Parts: sequence; structure tokens; C-alpha cells
Amino acid sequence: MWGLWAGAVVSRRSFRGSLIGRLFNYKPIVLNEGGLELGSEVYVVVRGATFFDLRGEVLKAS
Amino acid sequence: MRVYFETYGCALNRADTSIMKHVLISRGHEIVDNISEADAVVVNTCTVRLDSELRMIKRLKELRETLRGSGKKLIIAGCMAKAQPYTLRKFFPEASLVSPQNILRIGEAVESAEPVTFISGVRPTHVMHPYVEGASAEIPVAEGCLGDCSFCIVKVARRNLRSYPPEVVIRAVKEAVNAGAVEIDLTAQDTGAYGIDLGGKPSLPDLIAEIIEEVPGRYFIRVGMMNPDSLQGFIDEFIDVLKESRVFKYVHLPLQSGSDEVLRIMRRKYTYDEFKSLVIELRRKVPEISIATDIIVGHPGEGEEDFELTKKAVRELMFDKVHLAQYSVRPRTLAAAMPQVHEPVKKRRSSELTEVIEEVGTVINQAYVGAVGRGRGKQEVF
Repeated sequence: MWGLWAGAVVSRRSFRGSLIGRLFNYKPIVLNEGGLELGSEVYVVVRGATFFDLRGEVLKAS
Repeated sequence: MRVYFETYGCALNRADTSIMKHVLISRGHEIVDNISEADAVVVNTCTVRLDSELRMIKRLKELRETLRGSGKKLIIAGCMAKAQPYTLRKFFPEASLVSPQNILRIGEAVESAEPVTFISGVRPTHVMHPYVEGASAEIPVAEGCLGDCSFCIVKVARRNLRSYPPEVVIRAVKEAVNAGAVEIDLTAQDTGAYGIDLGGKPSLPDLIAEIIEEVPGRYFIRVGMMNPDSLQGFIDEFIDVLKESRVFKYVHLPLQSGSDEVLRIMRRKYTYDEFKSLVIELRRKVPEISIATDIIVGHPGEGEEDFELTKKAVRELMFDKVHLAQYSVRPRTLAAAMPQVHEPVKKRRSSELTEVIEEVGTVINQAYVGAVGRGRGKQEVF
């Protein structure tokens, strides 16, 4: 399994307004960050998970 | 003329809407976001399940009331126009019908003084425009498939396999990347069948390799649904492509049932063990891969033992994502004429399987949380 950091590409906005990033294996990770732009690449740490998706925190833009 | 669009259903439908919008703009029309500003309304329909069909009819009736007496045109496009024109003609005689194979004729439909019916024909594959939303783009690489599944009405709506030539796909990917897309979704009813109608053999891996070679930029390709029997023919080549840094380590492989007997009734072209072998091989060669699947519960012929095998399959294969559908009768399909599973039974099985899916999904996704120092660490994964 991968470690603390993961790269994600931010590709969509959910209907609730959150940003959705994708890990390298297309796992969706919800990013509740205000300053990110769609299309940006970021390093994230996975802080939580549901059966449906991951919940992440942005560490820095890559 | 000002044209308003509503689009329902799958990625192929969204891509078709994108193509229709381009056609209309090239003929001097304007696309508007508000129905009150429109002279014509295009509804790109979906009828994959019974609830989709009922939703379409309800919405079309609402629109008819909204448009009544306004002189505005109603144009019904999408799978319902092809698969159920009789239903639409019965309820909406004043509407024009444009099948997915006739999307390039949308201009004629909008401009015609009388309702038109463009149903027959095959899809032209020389024109394609990506559907870009946010930073992701959906690019249809083919329409139709080579299967003949008992439950599938999409097979009626998009009957023939028609692959877009590589140069058309590459042009669309360039257009999407230039428009800011970083996620490129290659979609089809069966991406694994791509190219069989062009060169006599499946050529999805070649297509992806060509895209990577021809389209510069920072983007990642997601390969859409492919049938297991299609993948069997080129799994080694596909695994090689999955190892490319610009390709998501992801596959969408619909199992549909864990019971060989139900798979046979469904006219799927594989057994559970064959499907399982594919999953094992993919995970052996690409350990980080995530695997999504589709499952139908309550298909005609599914008994309790069959259903238990499906539950067992979900636990055994540990899918990252399961798209679960409760079977519903679709007209003009083989399964519609079979003895049906009772609705309460289907509903119960759907609930039971949902619990299993959530249980498995939670276990898989929890493993991502705080997995410090086990593997890639700070290594960049893109």
C-alpha cells in the first residue's frame, strides 16, 4: 500500500461544491480546500475514508 | 436559433450532446443555458433501466407543458429515440426524434418547420468533440458492442460497433487537453472491442499508446468499461499500457453475476472463474490497480443460490467500486420474455448486496488512511 503522501489530480467539483481529486489509480479523494483550482496537481494525505471515497487534506501543490 | 439542451445518462450521451452543440454552433445557432431564452429544446434521453424511462417521460411531459403554445420546438434525441420511438410518438407526436446515429443531423431537426424522424442509419465517425466539464473530458472511442446480452436495451439503441479512427480520437484528446482537461476518459459501451470494426482486431492498447505519443501535455487517461471477454484477448498488451505513467491504474470490468448459470442466461461470454483469473492477473501485474464492476440483481433465472454466489464474489474479489443495479424489464430484449423474479425479492437482494458492497468498500478504503511508511512514502506517484 502507498504511504502518507499521495499525488492527486483535481478534476471535478462535486454537487456539494467540494473538489474531487483522483489518485494514480483513480480512487476519488474529496478535498475540502478553498484555494485549489480544477486541473491542479497536489500532494495529499488521506485523513479518512468511507466505503465510497477517501477524504484528504492537501499538503502542498506539486 | 437559440437551443437549450438537457442531457441524461451515460458518458456517451454527454459526448453526443457535445457533438450536437458543435454542429449547431457551426450552422450559426446559439446554445443557451435557460429554457426561457430558447427557441428549441433538445432532450438527450437515457432508457437504460425502467426508472430511467419513466423519468424521461415525466420530464418530457413537463417540458411539453412548459412549451405549449410558445411555438418552441421539442427535439428528443438519445437512446430512447432509437430504442422506443413508438413510445415517444404515442406521447409526443409533436416532437422530432433524432437517434444517436443521427446526431450530425441535429441542425436539420432544429431548422425544420415540421417534426422530423431521424432513426435509422449508422453513426458517422469522422466528427467528434469531447465533452469537457471541470478538468475532465469524456471522449467516446466507439459506439455499440459485439455482445448480445439478454438484459440490454442499449444494444437496441446502439446496435453496431462503430469505432472512431485513431486520428479522430487523437484530435479530440488534443482539443480536450487544450481546453484544460487533465482527466481524459475514453468511453464506449465496450472499450475492449475498440478497433475490431476498423482493422479486424481489438486495438485499444495501440490507441492509448498513440495518444500518449501524439498528444503532449500533463493529463491522465482513464479507460472506461470493457467486457471481460474482450479483455481476455489482449490482457498482456493492456497491462503494458496500464504501466504508463499517464494512464490511471484502473479498470472497469462488469461481472454482472457470480453465478455461471445466470451469466449463461444473461448471454455473457465468460464464467466466474474466467473473470476471477482476469482480476488475479491484473492485480499480480499491477498491484495498486483499482477495479470497478457492475452487478445486476434479480435478473430472470437468478435463484437464492445464484444470488449467494454473487455476494460471495464481491467478498472474494474485493472490488473497489460496485455499480449495483436492480434488474428491470426493458422492451425488445430477450430477458423481458423470461419468467421474472418478484419485485420484493429483487429489492431484498439489492439491499443485502448493498450491505456487502459497503462493508468491502470500507475495508478497502480504510487501508488508505494513515498508511505511513509502508511503501511509496513521499515518492511522487504521478
